[in-house]
Amino acid sequence: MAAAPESADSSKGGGLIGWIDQRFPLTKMWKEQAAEYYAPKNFNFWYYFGSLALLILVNQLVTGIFLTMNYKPSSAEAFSSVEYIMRDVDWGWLIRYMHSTGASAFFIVILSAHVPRASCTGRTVSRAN
Amino acid sequence: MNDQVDLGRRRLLTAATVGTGAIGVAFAAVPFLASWQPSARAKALGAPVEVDASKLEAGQMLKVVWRGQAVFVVRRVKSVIDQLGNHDAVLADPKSDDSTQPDYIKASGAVRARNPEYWVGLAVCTHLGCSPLGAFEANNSYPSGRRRLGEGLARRLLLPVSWLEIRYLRPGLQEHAGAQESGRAALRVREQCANHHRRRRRRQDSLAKRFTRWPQHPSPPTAAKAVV
Repeated sequence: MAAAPESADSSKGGGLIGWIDQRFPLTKMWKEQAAEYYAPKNFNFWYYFGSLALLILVNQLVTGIFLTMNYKPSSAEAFSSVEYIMRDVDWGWLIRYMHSTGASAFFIVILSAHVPRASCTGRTVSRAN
Repeated sequence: MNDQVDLGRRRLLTAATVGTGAIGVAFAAVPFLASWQPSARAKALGAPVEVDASKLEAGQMLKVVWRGQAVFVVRRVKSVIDQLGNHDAVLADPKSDDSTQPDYIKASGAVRARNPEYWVGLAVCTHLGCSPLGAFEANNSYPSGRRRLGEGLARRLLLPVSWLEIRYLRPGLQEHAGAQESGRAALRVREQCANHHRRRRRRQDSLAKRFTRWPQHPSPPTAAKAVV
């Protein structure tokens, strides 16, 4: 009777998840966005690029954080610190190439695939129709 | 279309996806975790230092820098070596039980060296980090790195030393079966550095030749221009 409107849904889980659900709609979001996501039947090739964009975003964040561990952002030290990353840090060359190639891939995946696909098939289009 | 959900198939596909993803994450994590290991530069900075002990006359001392710390290499005269065991009464720790030192040094007793003639020690006092240079030069009859009564916490650390060749002392090399191998590894690191710089110079030279608008190395003054 005194229960809040949303607690009927979120108070089902106990423990840590229940504690989080009382403060943030984690279970609801997981179900709506992933587990019980209503996938349209007319998915096609172009829908791959959304998840690829997410993959590259994570790649850029992780490799970027690891590059900052050895990069020195000053005009006097930047070049030699990049040399250091490429030659002396174990696997540093791979992390830097992942970052630079990922930056280019971001443009390809987002600007030439994901955005055009979304503007053709996105929610605004279907609602307008 | 059949609206029945094949739960077994769904479970299998979910497990296969999660398993494949986990393997992929494990492989992708390798370079990132490996990049936290000491870099080639750090390894080179901590590499053993080669000391030519053959230049030492009896009674002389060499000061060497190893990992930014001073290291003393003393060549003791015979009279000094003979006296080393006679000071136990004035020593705070005659058996050197408190010292940080390799096992083979401890076994050598008062001599505290592998070869009695050469004593190698870190020239940093563990009390306040001072270099006990004066004590060594003024008190030449006592160069064994043992602690006298009243010296408080001060202990001289003895470095592990391997004799790779008769002429060379290499402070910093661990005394173990692979000492020879690690010595060779250190030499390999040095060779790699030299090769790397050689390649880099060669590449820069060839680039400068191909792209003439790049700054050229200043050419040395030629004799032809000089007025004869």
